[in-house]
Amino acid sequence: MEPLRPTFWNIPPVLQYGVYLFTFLTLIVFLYGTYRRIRLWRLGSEGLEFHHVVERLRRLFLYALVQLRLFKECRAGVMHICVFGASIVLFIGTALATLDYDVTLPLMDIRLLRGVVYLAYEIILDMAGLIFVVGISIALYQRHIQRLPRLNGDWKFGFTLTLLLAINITGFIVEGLRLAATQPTWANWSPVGQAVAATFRTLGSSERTMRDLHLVTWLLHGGSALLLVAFIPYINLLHMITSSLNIFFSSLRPKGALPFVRDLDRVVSIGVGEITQFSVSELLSLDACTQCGRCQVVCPAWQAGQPLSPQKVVLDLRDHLSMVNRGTSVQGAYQKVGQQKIRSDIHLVGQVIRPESIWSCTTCYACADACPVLINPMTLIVRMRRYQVEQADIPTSAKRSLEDTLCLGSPWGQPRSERTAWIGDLPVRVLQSGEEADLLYWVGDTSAFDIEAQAIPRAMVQVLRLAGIDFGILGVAEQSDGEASRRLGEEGLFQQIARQNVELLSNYRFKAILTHCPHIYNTFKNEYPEIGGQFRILHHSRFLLDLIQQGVLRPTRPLGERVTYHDPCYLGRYNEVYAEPRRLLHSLPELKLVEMERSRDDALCCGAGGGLAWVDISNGQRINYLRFEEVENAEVRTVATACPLCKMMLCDALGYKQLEHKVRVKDIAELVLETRPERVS
Amino acid sequence: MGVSVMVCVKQVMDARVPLQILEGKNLVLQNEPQPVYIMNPADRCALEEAMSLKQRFGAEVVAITAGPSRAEEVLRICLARGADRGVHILCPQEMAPDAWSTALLLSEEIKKQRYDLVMCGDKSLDDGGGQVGPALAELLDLPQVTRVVALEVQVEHKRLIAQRLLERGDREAIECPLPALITVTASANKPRYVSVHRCLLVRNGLVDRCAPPPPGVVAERLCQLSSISWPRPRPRKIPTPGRDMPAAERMTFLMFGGQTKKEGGIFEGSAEAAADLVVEFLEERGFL
Repeated sequence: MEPLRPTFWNIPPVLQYGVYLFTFLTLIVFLYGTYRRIRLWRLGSEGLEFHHVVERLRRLFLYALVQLRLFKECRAGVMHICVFGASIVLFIGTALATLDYDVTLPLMDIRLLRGVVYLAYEIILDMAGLIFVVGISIALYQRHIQRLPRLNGDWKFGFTLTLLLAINITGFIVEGLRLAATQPTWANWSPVGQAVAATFRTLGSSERTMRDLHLVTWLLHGGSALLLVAFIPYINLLHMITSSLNIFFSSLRPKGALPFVRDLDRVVSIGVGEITQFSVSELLSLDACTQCGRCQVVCPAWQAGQPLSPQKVVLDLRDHLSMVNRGTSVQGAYQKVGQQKIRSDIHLVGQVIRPESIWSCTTCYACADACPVLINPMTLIVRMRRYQVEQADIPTSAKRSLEDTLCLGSPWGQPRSERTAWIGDLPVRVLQSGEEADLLYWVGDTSAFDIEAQAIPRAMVQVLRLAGIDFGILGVAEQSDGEASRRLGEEGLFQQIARQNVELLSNYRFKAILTHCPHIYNTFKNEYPEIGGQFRILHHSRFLLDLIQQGVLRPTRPLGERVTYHDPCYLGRYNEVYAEPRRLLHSLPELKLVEMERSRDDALCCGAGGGLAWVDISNGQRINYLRFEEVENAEVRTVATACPLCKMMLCDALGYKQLEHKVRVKDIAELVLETRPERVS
Repeated sequence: MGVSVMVCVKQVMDARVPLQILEGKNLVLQNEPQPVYIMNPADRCALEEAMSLKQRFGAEVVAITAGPSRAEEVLRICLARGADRGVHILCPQEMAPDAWSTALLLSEEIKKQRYDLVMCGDKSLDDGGGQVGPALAELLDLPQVTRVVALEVQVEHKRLIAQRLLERGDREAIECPLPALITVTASANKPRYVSVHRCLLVRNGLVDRCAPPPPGVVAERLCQLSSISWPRPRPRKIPTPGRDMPAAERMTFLMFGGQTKKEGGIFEGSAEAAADLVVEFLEERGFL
């Protein structure tokens, strides 16, 4: 007898028709639920972007199919691939069964699932079912037995996972009972089913019992499966739909470029005050959250006990969105929720999100980098900050730094004439308007005014002179790059300053701009082009490495120290520059480089980004003290930095912990200078 | 029928940048690559008070300034902060009006407007004379309350109750009928932040530009600037504290130069009688 799929074995015709009826009902409920969510996303202000399809498909492949980011935590990656992969196989299996019985058979009198095809089908599906059970078991274990801190152990998740497990196990029982009762010759092609069948045969059940049990289990299996599918859009399984969508529609802007506001003088409102001011893709991203908790555990503010959790921001916004529904118009749209009416024009910050939460974000990008489905909580926060700035509802220290940037050209509140005080007696060429140099060295605010950071340009100009580089600085004509203002939400100030800088730079001739600050590097590279400023910008880590590797400079004095390197967020995570600073340090004689617990893309922020160098914390610890503990654990003599703000923050932590006699904080330029480099003729 | 508020503002140099004095020309200049001008801090507080009146009563707020063409920037800031209109009395740099002339210029324009309340900063960052407000009140024949830190306007009763700052943290509350003029101290409130975007939106807002009356029509300067110099700390005479004083008092004596006893008190009576007393006081001490 040829192997053939015994569709609907032991199922009376009434129930067979029932399957189709309930599948139809399931589909209605599923589609309605999906439609309701789509309706909510469409409340957003800007539509979806469809351009650059190839790149979007590439992301879909990497993050939705291969699920690259999930494997940062190996076991979770394995778990999800098992569940995901097995689900797809099982779904295809069901589709094939439907095709076989309801399409090809009645229309063409052909059965697909027969012979070798059927045998392959059986074994593949059995294995898939087994893999699925393994995956779900890992998930249940992680969340509810081991209780991983990043995972929410709420019973809702346990219920869904258990239901999934039950569906699969009842499936195996149904198969096993059928195999035990019918005993086909090809039964061994369903190994798991055979194992279950063997159990029932050992128990000595009669065929009558097995048939009855089969029917009951089949009803349970089918019913719970259809129920689960119907409720996918209503529970956390919605991520099955939204995750891929979010990955596809994720922003294609460079990581370091915040959303741009065009025609600022004509736009009435900027930023997000109410939920409907988010774009459609941002609202979609709220629904893509799987509550995996990775963003929360990597957030430096969260780790320092400050009142910010990126996951909570996303979920609070999502819950608020769920309670809003479209009436006849968006303005004053109401929805009855119990006895309460929820309006769509509720102001988010203060009523849905705590103000302290959005003002605790250092924009370090750890959350966006960690999210497996490419949600960017940081952008949501900055967009809310923009609205708060418009409402003048910002921390006082932020207000002062913004006013100083506008008035005096830097958030430090020092007059422009003080910008060159760091030079001291060093011979530095200050370029006048119209002059030319190979390299324009943009010093930056922090290094002009902060005493610890002043050591960096002092070291750099000495190294540049030793290397015989033709460079000049702007001197007192230099002003803030506008980056910190933009991170604080003052988009108008950023655009104004950026345009002024682009115009200023048009008065000089140079081949490239050199900077030692990753914030300046990032904003010139990724944000100034939109303002109309296209410049070749170099970070000094790369430049110094080139000087040594290309044989222009040769270090002569060995350092003889244990050194660790602190990755700046704006150089590392944002611009993926991890190797050059390390290669630079390796090229310095007798320098032993050790890595801290968290480095490269896992590195902990120093706490100064996002404009927070000028805003004090509301609660919790200081992030830089937290990071410094890792420096201490690395047991090094020196911690090397490549950012003036990082240096400033780590020096502050050093002073607080009173470890100046044990540890030094030095920029890579300072370390290069310490090796007494010589010009190689 | 709404409340209308005039706010007098002045553009001053930002004092945080290094300054230099041109001795011969009696000019104070900034030693900076770009000149930095700001709105006088006390005027900013006055405007902020006006804005809370706008929020409460829907008052119309008109900002007015007398200064060179660059002073229009200050009116733009006022518009961005929520003022409805701006009035700019163009005074070329050379004119350099003193307090009395400034008050005259302002009063000429203000008389053309309808107002219930005139607000000024109590003193400016650069001259610090604090005279324009009181002079303006006299020219407009308005009751005045100076150095206000808190304001309550009762529109129905056409009056205001102002808390003014006295020395050593003392306050007094004054009830005053409207229309009136008040001067607001820089400690009255914390002015809100105004984003660049808001400034952009009101860039084309309403500013009436008026030329000043031709020279000669305005009265001559009452004051002539004789010289400007850097501040020199005055030496304090500190007598030796007596041995019978407790230690805490002795330390206060040494640190703060002794305890001053103020003569006189608060005179209660009519304004004319008070004026006579003041003249007598000044004559006795050789000031007049």
